[in-house]
Amino acid sequence: MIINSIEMSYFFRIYKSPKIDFSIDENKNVTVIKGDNGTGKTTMLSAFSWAFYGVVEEPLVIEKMLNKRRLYEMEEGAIESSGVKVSISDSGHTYLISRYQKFKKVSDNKSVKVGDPDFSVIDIANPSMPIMDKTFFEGIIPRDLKGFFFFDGERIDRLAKIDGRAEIKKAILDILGLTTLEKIEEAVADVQSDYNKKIKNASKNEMLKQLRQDYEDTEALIKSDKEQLFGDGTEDNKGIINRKKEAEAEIEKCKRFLKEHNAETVKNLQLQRDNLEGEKNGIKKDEERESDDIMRHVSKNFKYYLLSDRFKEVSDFLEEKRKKKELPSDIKVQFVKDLLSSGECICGQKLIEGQCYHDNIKKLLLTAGREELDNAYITMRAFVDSNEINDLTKEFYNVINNYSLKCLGFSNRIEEIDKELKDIKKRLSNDFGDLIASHEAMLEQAEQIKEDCSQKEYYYSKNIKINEDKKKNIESKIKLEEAKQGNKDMFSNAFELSVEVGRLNDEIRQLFIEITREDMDEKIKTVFANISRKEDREACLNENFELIIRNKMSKQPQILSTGERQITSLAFIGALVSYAKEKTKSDLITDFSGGDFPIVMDSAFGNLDPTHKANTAKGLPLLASQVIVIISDAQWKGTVEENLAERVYSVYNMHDGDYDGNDDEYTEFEV
Amino acid sequence: MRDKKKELNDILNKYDPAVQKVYQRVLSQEKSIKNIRKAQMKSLIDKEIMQQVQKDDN
Repeated sequence: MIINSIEMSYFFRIYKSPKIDFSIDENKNVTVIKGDNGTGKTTMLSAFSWAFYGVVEEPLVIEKMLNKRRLYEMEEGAIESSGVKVSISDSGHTYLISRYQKFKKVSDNKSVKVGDPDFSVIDIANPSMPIMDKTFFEGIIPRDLKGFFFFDGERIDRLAKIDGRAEIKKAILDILGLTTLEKIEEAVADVQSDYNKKIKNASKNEMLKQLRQDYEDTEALIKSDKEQLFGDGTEDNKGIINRKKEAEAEIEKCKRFLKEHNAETVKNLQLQRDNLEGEKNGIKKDEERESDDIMRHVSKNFKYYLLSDRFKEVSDFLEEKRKKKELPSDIKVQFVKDLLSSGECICGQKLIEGQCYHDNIKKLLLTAGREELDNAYITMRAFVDSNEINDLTKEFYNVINNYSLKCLGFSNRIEEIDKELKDIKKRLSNDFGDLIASHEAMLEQAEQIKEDCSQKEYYYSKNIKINEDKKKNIESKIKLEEAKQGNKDMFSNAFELSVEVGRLNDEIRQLFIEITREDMDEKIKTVFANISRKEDREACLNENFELIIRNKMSKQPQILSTGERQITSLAFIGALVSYAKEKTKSDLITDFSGGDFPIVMDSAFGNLDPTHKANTAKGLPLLASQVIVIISDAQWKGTVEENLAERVYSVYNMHDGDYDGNDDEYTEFEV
Repeated sequence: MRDKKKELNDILNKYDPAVQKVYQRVLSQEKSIKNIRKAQMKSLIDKEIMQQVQKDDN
């Protein structure tokens, strides 16, 4: 990636929209931006952070981004945009990245943000299709690595201290693309936790056990009920159905004896009893049929009884609304349209567009009723007015009253029949000798047995039906639980597999960290040799990710001076950039895809003695293909300028602008 | 100079083919997603593992 130019508009100290072009020359790859302290060096670094990542460097805050001079000039309530536009080239494309925030002036010293920042990326080759992805630049340099390509002097000093270890290790992990492996590690842990939950849910064997027990119990109940009903094949338990059949046979036998008796009276009494019983059975069947009919009638027509009063209330309510013109008028839309298109009213008045008659008729469209609404209303009103609802309600009660009368008739007749049957029984038991009386007693007993068996048959059949349904229900629950059990095995296997994937990922992660540390160690040595003045010393990145300087021969670590710390950190940064450059060739694991990147350095020479300054100045252009140095006048003059001059493409001077005596409020640039 | 690819393969080969397959497929698919998020990674891993498990069952 190469940064072609940056244009800052009313951005903190920057007034108007100065543009800085950066060197893209291979031999003169350094662009210097210099100025006294307080002229806006932090603003420069923030300009890159803002355009690329939407953040600004401390102590700056986004809320105060709008340039003070511009704010002073604006009318109260006026709105102005503040922001940065950067042109970069990457992988054969040139992009224009811009991020602007609107501000509204509240008072001479205060502005407030208006909305979110406007962000866009335009590929110059395809300007009509802006890229709206706000994280676009993170695909080139991830945010975590930003500090190693756009950095200030304080961080340079910090890296080589003990507390810089974590930062160094993280930078290595990030540049390696190991964040991918970390994401895998975290995601695998989450996946494992999910599988565990699923296994636990599927493992509720108690439920399956209980269901199977319920199934067995229900089956046992059905079996027992069926044995009651049909017997178990033994003489002791013939079953209710068989006992009922036996009783029926006994009844039939007794009746036949009486019907075939020599005595005419006995025979006639039995025939009379048969007829009465036949009639009684017929009445009971009629009773059942009538009962079914009346149930159907009630279910179908009960609504008329419920709605009859409500219908009238609703209809009256609508009518009242209509009279108050709160409902559409009774003139229909289509009728008004027909009049307008015919050009003549029904009264004969010509309807010409633009004239008042035409306009009056046209106004009716606003209140005219829609046909479907009218039709619905008319139907309801007609229904109420026609008294149909009342007729239907009356009819509903008529049918019920008829049924009641019929039921009364059935009940009276059955009562009569029972009385007659009782008389017949009494006569047969008492009036015709012992033989007839004993048959009558046998008949009565058999009928009692039959009645008892019928009741039990009804009870057990119903029980069997209920339990059969219950069994089916349990069966489907068992199938569901068994499926879960199958899932349990599946999730157990998935869990095992995820554990292994996690282990593999961890091993690979450790391998890559170690290999990269070794690579970085080599590169740091090379870069350090270029910028250090002590040939007997070498920089290295030890196994604890500490940057140290040691004696080349004895390998003994040396105590670092402030200058040496800075040199060592620069060596690390140079090594990191160099590693990123080579990473494009690697196809092992990607996250940060690597590439040729510029370095933007703020105050890189702060604590160096003249010799280190000279070496760093000479070594700096070698660190990256493009170097942007932000530096104070004091640091620039002398050693740094002399040693860097031949690689410098252009020098931009920042100095305080001057307006109305407020000379510290903005920065001017000149080449 | 260490041979990264050989060392990587040595590690991979220590694991069951199903584990290797899941891992390699996750990595290859991850490459095609820019700035993959953790939730996406989780669903990718879950999908690959479940596919492998179901394949084994069949």
